[in-house]
Amino acid sequence: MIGEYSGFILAGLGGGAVVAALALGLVLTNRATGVINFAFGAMGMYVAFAYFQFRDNGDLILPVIFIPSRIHLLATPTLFTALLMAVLLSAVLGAATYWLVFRPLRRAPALASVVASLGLMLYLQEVVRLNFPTGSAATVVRMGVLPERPVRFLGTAVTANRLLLVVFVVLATVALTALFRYTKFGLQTRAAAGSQKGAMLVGISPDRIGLINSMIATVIAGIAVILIEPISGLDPITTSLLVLPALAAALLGGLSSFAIATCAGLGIGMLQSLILGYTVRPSTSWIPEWVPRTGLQQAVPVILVLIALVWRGDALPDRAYLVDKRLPSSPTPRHVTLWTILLVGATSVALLGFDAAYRQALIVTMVSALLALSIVVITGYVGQISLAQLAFAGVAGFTVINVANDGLPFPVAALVATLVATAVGVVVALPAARVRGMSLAIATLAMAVALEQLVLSSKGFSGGVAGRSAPRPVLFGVDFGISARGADNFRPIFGFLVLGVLTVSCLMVANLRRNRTGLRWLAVRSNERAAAAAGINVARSKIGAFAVSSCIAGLAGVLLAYSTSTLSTNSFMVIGALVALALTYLGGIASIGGALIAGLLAQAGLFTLLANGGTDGKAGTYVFAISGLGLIVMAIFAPDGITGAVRQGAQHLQRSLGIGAQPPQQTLLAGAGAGAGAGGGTGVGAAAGAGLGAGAGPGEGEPHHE
Amino acid sequence: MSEVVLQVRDLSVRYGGVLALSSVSFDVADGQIVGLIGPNGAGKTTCIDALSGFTTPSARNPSFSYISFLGRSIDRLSPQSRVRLGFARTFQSLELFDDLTVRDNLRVAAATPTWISTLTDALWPKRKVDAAVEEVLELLGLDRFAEDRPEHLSNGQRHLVAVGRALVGKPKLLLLDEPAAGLNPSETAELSKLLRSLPDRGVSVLLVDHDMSLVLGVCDQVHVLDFGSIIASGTPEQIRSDPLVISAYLGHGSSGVDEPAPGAGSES
Amino acid sequence: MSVPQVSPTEDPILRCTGVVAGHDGLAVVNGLDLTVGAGEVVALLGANGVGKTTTLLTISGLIPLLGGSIELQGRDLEASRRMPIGGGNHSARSQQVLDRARSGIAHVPEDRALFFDLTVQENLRLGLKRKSDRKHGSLGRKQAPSQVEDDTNQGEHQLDSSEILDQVLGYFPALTGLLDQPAGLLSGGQQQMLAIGRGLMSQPKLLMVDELSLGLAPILVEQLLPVLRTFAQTTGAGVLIVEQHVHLALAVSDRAYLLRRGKATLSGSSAELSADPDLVEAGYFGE
Repeated sequence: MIGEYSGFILAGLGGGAVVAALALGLVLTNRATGVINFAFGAMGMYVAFAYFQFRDNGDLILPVIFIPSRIHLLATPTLFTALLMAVLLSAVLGAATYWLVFRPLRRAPALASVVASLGLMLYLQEVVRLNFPTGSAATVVRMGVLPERPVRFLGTAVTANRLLLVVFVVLATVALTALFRYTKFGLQTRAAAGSQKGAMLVGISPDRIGLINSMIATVIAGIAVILIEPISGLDPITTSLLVLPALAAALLGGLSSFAIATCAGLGIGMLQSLILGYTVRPSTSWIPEWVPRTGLQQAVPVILVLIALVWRGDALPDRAYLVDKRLPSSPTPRHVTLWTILLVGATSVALLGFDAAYRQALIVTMVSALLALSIVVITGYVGQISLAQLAFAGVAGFTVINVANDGLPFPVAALVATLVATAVGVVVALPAARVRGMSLAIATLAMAVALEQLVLSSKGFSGGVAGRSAPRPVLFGVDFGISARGADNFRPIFGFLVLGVLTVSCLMVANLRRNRTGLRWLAVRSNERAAAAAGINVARSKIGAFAVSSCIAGLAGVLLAYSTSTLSTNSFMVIGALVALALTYLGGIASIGGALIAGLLAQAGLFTLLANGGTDGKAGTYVFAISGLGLIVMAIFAPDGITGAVRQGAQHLQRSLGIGAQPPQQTLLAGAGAGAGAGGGTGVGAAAGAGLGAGAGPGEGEPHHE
Repeated sequence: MSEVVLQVRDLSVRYGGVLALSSVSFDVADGQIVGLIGPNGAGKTTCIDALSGFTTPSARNPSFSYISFLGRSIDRLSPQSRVRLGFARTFQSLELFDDLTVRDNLRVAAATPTWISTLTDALWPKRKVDAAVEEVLELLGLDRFAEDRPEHLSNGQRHLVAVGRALVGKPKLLLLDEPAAGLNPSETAELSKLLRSLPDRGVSVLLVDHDMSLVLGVCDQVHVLDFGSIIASGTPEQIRSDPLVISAYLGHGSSGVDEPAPGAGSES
Repeated sequence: MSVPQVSPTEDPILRCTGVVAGHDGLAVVNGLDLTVGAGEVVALLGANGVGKTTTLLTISGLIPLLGGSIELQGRDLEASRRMPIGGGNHSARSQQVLDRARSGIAHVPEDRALFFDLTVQENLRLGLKRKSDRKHGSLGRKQAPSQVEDDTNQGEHQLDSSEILDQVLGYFPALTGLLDQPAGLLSGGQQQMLAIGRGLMSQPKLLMVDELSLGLAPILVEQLLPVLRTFAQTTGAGVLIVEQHVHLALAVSDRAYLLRRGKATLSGSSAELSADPDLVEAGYFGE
């Protein structure tokens, strides 16, 4: 019986080893800097690309844009020189990311480091796509490092490189454990992790500790990804997302144990391989048809993470929990009626006046804004980082298609689907109310992966890769369908339907924000203990907010289903959820205006079209990379997003023009205000430039974020 | 005798291996201001945390009521449920909602939500004027700052906002954790005037502070905590002359001076 | 004030002149003058919130100095870098803390900032200065070396790390049997000993202990305070303590400052101050 599966188990050693190596790096950086780096897989991915390029022709390709990135170093690279180059390169990369990105964010809220590391991940993915000749893979011969001949191990055939990879990871684990236990540097790292103040007072520099550990971690990640290439291949997106199972392993080790993280990583790899082997076996008939086989394999590790996280969580933080300061400011919505009339009016004119291409972009913008609005509610107002919003949208999207195809009329089907999404949101919120900060981000990410792999990928639910189509929405004999029969011409009437839903949603969110519900949300975001002391049921507030936000996400999913000819699972992949959060942050995560700007910036939204139209599509070349950098810069310097920068600029302008009732003594400062106002204006311009990028990626194979 | 609002019996709290509060018992009667004093680390904040539901008592006998409020055991209630029964508390570090204006800080605490209120809040655009909020703003002289954020206020005003947030829900019992910390003498005098007016408004008070002149000046009854236990109880006059109290603050006078100085608690 | 001002030591280890300090640019300490001489134990007294802890944090560099000057053995600690108000430059500030720790200031903060996961021995070892810092040890090269400083310098050259450890364990014999225990499992009193011991491992020129008796049984406090006395006398270092038990603090210190509203309103020799308890009480209440 065992023998039947031992092949699968051993085949999983390779994948498990790379997960373990990344988990080691995550544990190391967390222990030394307190940061969880979502871009860790992407960093390893870049190093591996650089290694194979160098090994092939001696060219070092740097992760830069605009300036020449290719340096010819050696005419005849050898295995040794190439590996040496890879080690040095990863060390430099680790040092640079620590110093430039994570060191400034040491004391920032979890949201800022999540967004910054997402920005780094997007940037690295895009730089690899731009700078490496991956499109024509034939130009690079990927020369593997380890021998690939099969050997017999425990009576089963397995390739040598898998076993050697495990040896590498185990050696790294032993080395790190020894480093931490027996060296002065390890002692200092453990000390700094225990008490940063204590460390500084005895003369230990936390920056030096963070820098060195970040370098070591990146070297391990880089080498592991280089070694895994012959087994798992190398791809900017897939390889970057190896960080997810690695997070699972690291979390099982409490983000502090190297040995447990490694064992968990290897275990996850073998378990995945075993599940795959078991489920593809013809005799495995008890698993229902609708359960996606590969999904089961992906979902198991994240479900483990979820259990670990929730088990450790607590309903209220204890006295020692540091309250995140410096959250993005959330101003009370003002002039709501005026804004509504202006925006609805302008959009209506645009829907009627635009040609089909622009009308399509406008519809995409509105649907994306709706999804962003759901993120504003849960993450901006309540401070709960949710990466599951896109999955809620997906659930609603396929639900509406299924129930409508079963004969439910349009508005009822849409309502049912939205309610289903809301219910799923509440179910997700029940355990999520017990964790906070970075842990919540990971928990919701895990649930998003579980939903994607088990539900959205289910053939019976979503039609699998082929996708499904919704029937035309007809209400009281009026056809709201997006396309004229047979032709794809984006009818304005569908645009008005979307506009109506978006307007009502925005108004309701504005009302909630101005009423006591919104105050309670902001109170929970600001300080959970004080909120409880003010009589607020913190868990119930969070669950209520999850319900509202998943309801809005569900609406977005329903509209998305009606707006495309075929809805496929690709629209709801996890990377899209990360991009959606990042765009909303860019727009301004704690205001309705921020959601609308995020919609404009969305891929295939208005900005993309304008940018590509103005430059014959050339604007798309660098914009994704710039947007990644922009996210990092925004996370560090402008947590209020574009709307915040605009608001500040407007305030400065107002002050310098003498508009508004300023106390007399402040007129002295008018000159300074004008100067600062000009500064703010530059900020807006820079932000808008970055935003442009985020929307207008070339994005082949890049899923829509909506 | 007036009615007992809060009855604490045999309350113990353990943090790790340390017994932070050890079998503490006392009462707060209706309309009373009761003071809780003691050196730093004596367990005062722990006591407020336990009373308001933020810390779980270590000994838990389900048939015994450790904390009773208006004759009802509240040992198992969550913090927010205790608030709804008529508890209110402040924090040593104030813990104001920095994102909200002063008025909104108070509005948050003013009413209990229902499941329906989320729905009505979504549909109804108008901000309702809340009489209770406006009344407290006026009482504390905060109406001029109602639309300012707490960060723009002085330290004394911020303390008043914290007290206001606790008062706005019309509590029966107010637990104040070092409300005078960092206040200047005139602000402290204002505070003590305010505290004295509370019993007339139907609010009983448990006051934790280091400012001896404040505590001894406004309280009807004072309990002295040291190393988690109550070492003395009595009227301010009795406490002032209690040798145990003096030694708790000044150390056991085995060396040095014969007549210990009656200094106040002194941490910064 | 009726108590005569004690003449400041001629070559003080620490001299604070007109110090203004506080969190977020808000001055809690406002114009504090203070000196700690070689071999002297100085107590900082005062009611809650008057700025005693803030003073220590400012001296060790954990919060920025807003005005005035702090000198360690005649060298202006702020001369090299001035922090912007609000201290936006976190990295530069942390560098400042490191510089001061390495140049001979040991600060035992209120929360003790121990490394709970590490053993007692590891905690102590981390207190050791780097070899290079140990050699160049003292920084006041400009001034004429006093007798005391000569002694400490000789001590530094002679001792290796295990000898320093023995010396510190000599002050706190109770820690000897606990060397392999994680610090987190120690009792409050043992933790306080460890925190002070870790500070002593660096052979500081100035040892600052905040709230020494916090959460400790008075009997323990009575054992700990004389250790500081012995340390100051044998090494010639300065000791600055913040202590809420006025009586004990005055018994062990040479001089004391009474802080009120961010200023020293009363200072004098401890003997004089304890002889006149009413004066101290008046200092607390300002009446």
